[in-house]
Amino acid sequence: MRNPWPMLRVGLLDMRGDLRRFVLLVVTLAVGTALIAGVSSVGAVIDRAVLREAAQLMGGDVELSRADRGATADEMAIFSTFGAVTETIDTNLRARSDDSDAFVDLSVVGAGYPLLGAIRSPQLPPGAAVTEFLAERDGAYGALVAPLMLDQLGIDVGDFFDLGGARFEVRGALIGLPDSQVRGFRLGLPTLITAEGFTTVSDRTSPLPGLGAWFRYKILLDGRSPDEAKAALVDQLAGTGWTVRTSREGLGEMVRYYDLFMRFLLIVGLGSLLIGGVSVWSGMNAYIGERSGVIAVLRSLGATTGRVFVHFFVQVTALAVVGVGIGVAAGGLIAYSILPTIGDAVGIALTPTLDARALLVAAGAGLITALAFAYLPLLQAQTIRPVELFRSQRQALPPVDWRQVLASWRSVPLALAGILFFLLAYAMTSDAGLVGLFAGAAGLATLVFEVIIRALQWALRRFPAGRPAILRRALRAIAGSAATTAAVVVSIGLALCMLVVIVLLQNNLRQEYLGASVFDAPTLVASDLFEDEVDELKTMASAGGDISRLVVTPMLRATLSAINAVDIAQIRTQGPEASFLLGGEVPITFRSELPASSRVVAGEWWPADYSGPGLVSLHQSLRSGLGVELGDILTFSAFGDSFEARIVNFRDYSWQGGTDFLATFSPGLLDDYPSTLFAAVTATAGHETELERRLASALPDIRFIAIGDTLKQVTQALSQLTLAVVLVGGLAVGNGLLVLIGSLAAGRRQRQADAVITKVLGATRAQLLGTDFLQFLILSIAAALPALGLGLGLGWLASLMLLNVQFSIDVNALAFVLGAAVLLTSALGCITILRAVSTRPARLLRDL
Amino acid sequence: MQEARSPLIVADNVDYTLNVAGRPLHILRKVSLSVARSEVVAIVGPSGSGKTSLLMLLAGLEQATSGKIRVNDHDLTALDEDDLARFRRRTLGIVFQSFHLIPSLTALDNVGLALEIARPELSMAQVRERAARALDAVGLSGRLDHRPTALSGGEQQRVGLARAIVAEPPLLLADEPTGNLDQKTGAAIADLMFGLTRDLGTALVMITHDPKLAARADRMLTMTQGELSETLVTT
Repeated sequence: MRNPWPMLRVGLLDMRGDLRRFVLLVVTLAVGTALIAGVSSVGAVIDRAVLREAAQLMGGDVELSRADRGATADEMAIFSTFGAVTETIDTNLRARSDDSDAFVDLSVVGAGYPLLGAIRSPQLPPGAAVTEFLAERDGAYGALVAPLMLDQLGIDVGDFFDLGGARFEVRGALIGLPDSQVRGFRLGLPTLITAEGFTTVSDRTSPLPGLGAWFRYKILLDGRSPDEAKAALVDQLAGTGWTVRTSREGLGEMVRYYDLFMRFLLIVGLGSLLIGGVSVWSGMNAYIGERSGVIAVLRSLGATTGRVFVHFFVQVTALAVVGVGIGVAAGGLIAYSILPTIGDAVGIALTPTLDARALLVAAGAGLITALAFAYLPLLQAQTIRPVELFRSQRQALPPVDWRQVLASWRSVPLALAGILFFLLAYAMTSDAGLVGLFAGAAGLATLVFEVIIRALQWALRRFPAGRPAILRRALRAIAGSAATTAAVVVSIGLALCMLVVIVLLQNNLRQEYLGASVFDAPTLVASDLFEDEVDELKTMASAGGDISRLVVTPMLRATLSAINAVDIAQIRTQGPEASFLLGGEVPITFRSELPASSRVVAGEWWPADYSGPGLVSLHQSLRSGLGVELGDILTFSAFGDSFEARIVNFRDYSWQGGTDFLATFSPGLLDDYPSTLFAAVTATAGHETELERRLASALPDIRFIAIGDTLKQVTQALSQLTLAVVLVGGLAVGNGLLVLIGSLAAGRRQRQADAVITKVLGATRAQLLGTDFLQFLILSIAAALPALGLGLGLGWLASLMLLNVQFSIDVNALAFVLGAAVLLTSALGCITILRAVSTRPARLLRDL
Repeated sequence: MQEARSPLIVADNVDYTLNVAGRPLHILRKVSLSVARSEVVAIVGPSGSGKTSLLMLLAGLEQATSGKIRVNDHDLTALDEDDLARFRRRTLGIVFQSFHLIPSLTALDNVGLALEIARPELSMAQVRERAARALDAVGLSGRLDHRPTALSGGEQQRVGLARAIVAEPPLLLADEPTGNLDQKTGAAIADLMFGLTRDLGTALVMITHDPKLAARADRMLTMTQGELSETLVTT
């Protein structure tokens, strides 16, 4: 075998000269690879951390929970066969001291708690059993209480307070629970008592509608995997209403948002990979087109087509190694530095580490992208013949002869690259459907753009040559250079299509997070108010000052007795909301209009003036929880009466769950029953404490519950994720714009040559620049219109099928990004010939 | 010594026709030509008469429409693209009117590249040593590391000449080798070219519009509207 080094050396030496021509190609590859490296690294580290820490976070390997009751002795016996079991009950109660009261997030723990981790309390001796530490002394059980609540109640460790009618002694400050992450965002101030102590609590009524008790049983498995244990438990407890979660599933609602974020990152990563490939394709097309003279020289010296392939393959590989190397380093470093921040956002401690596998996948993806997309231009390089040295040289590559490529062995590497590309994308996403959708969409988009540009050129050739001359020349330029124009439109179109998809998904995800956030969350809420008390509140609100908003909702308590005439005793429930609804008297309300914080996810909201038969709107979790569908009939009973209502919609109110009603009825049905009122008061910014004091003084009989702080924590976490989405989306959009710039490289030399000659013939600089601007404006618009359609379709599919978020279109953002991209492309189109029109033609004519 | 006596180039009844806008355009008609080893042949004629096309056919860069072309006992009509490339690297060197050096490579690398392609068995050191010798032969021993942009037109053509003869091919094809140079520089290049081909025993087929240059050839052929005729050389 001959020594390959001379071939490699000449190939590398041939890259010398103006290195700026490679900058765009290297940058787009680097950005695409960095995105993938960053996404994969963060994903891998989080997944590992989740696997490792999930059990710690949940305080067990598996958790069983329900809202209506605790486990029976038989059920406890079943649980115990799987490993060590401990019981916890989460509920909300009101605590009182002599001077004040507080809304409590109560943790009731049984023997053995915690199975994993430790309760953080300065007063609890290390290794001590909490049940013993809080055992009854002098007629009072002990409690660990959050320091904030001690302040609020004006008491200290060693003092006593009232909880649901029972007296408890504060034995220590509660700093943290080992399983606090999986309890979700709880309302109220944390307090911990023992199950034994809880038996003394007589008033267990929740101070807020929609909040009930949660009975949780955590199991530390003795050998089985969480998934196996879950399957076995579900099987053994079938139909008993228990919700079984593995530790991974138990990470709660925030993990769904994290999963959404990861999915978004993966889509962005795949998109970047694709448009990075398009950039490589258009960049290499232009580069090899410009180097056709060198190819012809090589061929005239006796170089075979294989040698020409190797010559440029070496160059592509060198560029890819540089771009991918920069990308991997940048992506790895970014991931390394932002892991703690992401950990804070998703509630898992993430140690900064570099994940070798993720970085290798990114490097592989970048290299394969570069080489796969450069393959066609490399094939085309072989078609350049040395005879061109005797004639005028071409400045662009000839179009691909697909029939020839597909009919020969040359299609094998292409197919191989396609398969490798698919496998790598699959390694990144573990989602063949997602990768398949991407591949199909990319293929379809390329086809659409090719067809559109052919149609445009066909039409332009038949377009009567009219005035103005500048338009005529621009149209002639588009119709004239078929291959170059098609390459420009396909790459601009694909980049714009990706931009549309990214902007749509970014917006939809942001909406999902913002919708779940509670930026206008009430500061204080109170239930069971009477009309005169609400009037007083309204008077205070209308006077302005520290109340920015007051929302009053009628409320009454009712019991769900049947579904489609089937008694609820025979209904199997799934999930905590369904258990709660079937657990006895629950708060309900009636409204004419959909609250701003809710959105209908199925069915329709009733008209504002509706007054017909009873209709009901349910929280969407009840659809699967109760096994009900639109049109089903629910029977409730209240005040000794029974009334029926037809389910007409399901709605979501995400984090506002704590302050909204699971069941909301249409007006008319409940109007005649005596109801109380539920009030949500929002303070003007910075006046929360002042308002709380003023309300306590003006309405001393009402217990207002401060919920703003807790909801703000949710908002803060979601804001961090929203910011991350915006940043990543922005980076992807920036990468797309780079690709746009890169796409203009196709045919640049030819345009410069044309400009010089036209200038010699007497055209002014303004005319030349104007012609180019117009040419690229038309091409960009021709690419943008189908890109918009395709992008909207893909964005819709991705939103609904891949992210499972509501699809909406931010017209302003889309118009801005597309408009800016079209103008940028047109302006940069001019700039590519700026040197040619600004320099004296004689100098450039020598180079032609 | 059969090989020594057989002609280096034999073209027999060569037609070369292009299809332009659906109509045949006859570039060469029934061209026959024989060139002996070490012979110097000049082809003259007006622009567009088919001179360059004939050169391209002899170099295996284009395929004749009909007729036979044999160069150094290779039937060019029977070779595919890569065989033609291998034929070129062993059999001929080309000097272009516009030099066609690779701008990113130094003079030494431009010349070395041709040798490295033609003689892959040579080591890098041997390639560089022989390329340096070829550049020395054209008077550029002090310009080995200069890139084309740092060389004058005459110097670039010297590099082109060194590149064409570095592998010592039996045939040198030159397409108006002095066409882009002033009279004095052109004459110097011509002296070099004739001297080197004579020393190496290389045959030279040269296209030129310069009657003085043509007159230095062993034979002068005239191409007129695709037909070749022999002109008596008077010295």
